[in-house]
Amino acid sequence: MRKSIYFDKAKKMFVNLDSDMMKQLTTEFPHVDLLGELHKMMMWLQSPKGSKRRGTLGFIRKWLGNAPTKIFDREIDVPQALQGLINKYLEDMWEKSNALPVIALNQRRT
Amino acid sequence: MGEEQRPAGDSFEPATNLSVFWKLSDIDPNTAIIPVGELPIEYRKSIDKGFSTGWSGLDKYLQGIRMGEMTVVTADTGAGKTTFCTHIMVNAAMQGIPVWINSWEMKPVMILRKIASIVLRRPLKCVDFTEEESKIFDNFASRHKVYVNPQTIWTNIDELEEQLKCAKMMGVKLVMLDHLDYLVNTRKEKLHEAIDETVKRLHELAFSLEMHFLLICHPRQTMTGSEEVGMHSLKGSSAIKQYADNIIILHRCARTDTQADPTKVKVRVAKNRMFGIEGNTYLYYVPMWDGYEELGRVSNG
Repeated sequence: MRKSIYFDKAKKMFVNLDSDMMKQLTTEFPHVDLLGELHKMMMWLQSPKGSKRRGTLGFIRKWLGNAPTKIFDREIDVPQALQGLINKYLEDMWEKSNALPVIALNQRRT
Repeated sequence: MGEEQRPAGDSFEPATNLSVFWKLSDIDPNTAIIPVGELPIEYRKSIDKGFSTGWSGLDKYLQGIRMGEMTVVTADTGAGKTTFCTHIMVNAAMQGIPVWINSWEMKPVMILRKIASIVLRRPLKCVDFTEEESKIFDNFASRHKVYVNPQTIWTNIDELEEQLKCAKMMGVKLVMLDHLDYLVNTRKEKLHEAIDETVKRLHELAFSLEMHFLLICHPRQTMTGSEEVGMHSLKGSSAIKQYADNIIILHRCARTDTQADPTKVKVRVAKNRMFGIEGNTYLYYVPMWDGYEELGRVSNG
């Protein structure tokens, strides 16, 4: 029988939140930054607004359900045919606007 | 008895020349209704592609800075909105684009020092100019048209409109407005309406004056102070999202990822009206000269 999960304010950590539960939460909320959101939860639970909450599993699930997803971190794959057009567009634009020296100036030297 | 009625569509044949139609009727032609084939032939020639932001990664998504558009730049407080926009202004000036910098919360002395730091790649934000540095900066200032608004007191959109018309006559093409809150003047209960009105007007001005505005907007305060800002976070977000042609959101990666390089900044193109291509690129803040670099690459296809 799983022990109940709660936030221990004295120890500043979630008690009984083991790796199995973390894996399960990752599966339930695949596009959420789990560690980042847990960190935010801990901060909130220690704040005046969150001081009266226990930080149970239900609380964690509800929070993750409302959390922003990482979907917008993905790079967009531009279709190959369009990529060619974009590259031509950019080359013409860079040459016409004398941008290439400016771009070179802003590149990190390794 | 009335005349026999015919369907209205019988009066129109396919591809009717409307100018002939107007002549045959007694109705004055309405200049708001023009056949698409009769629009000026110049429209079919090559379009003005605008100019580069100065970073190839960002250009890949924005495809340049075009006249007649407005780009909103937002980020959490202290993330580098003003620095980023100032760097874009310098990049544009180096391409021969006349620019005008308005910052109502940064003194002109700081604007000058930020520009000098970026141009000379030296920490001139906090040290005195040497004679040589002063000469190099003078050389830059004489070759490139960078204008600054030295007034830091509160302004309003009407006054700004007059100033923009003057700037247009002087050839200015790119304008930095730092930031929106200084242009919106109203009591708090009408704040959203005032923001709507101001943003709409700015968009109309950019369009009619054929300039590009870089408008800095502050987001609402995040819950913990370290969340990544999204479009929904913008104060008056509906108007800003609607009227902005492009929206750029900056995010210091180390604020949400303690393992990240502290100088790494995510530059998210959250809206791109012209091409619809959105995505992320990364720049690296250089504290030494208060500007941004990208990892070396120039996309050649």
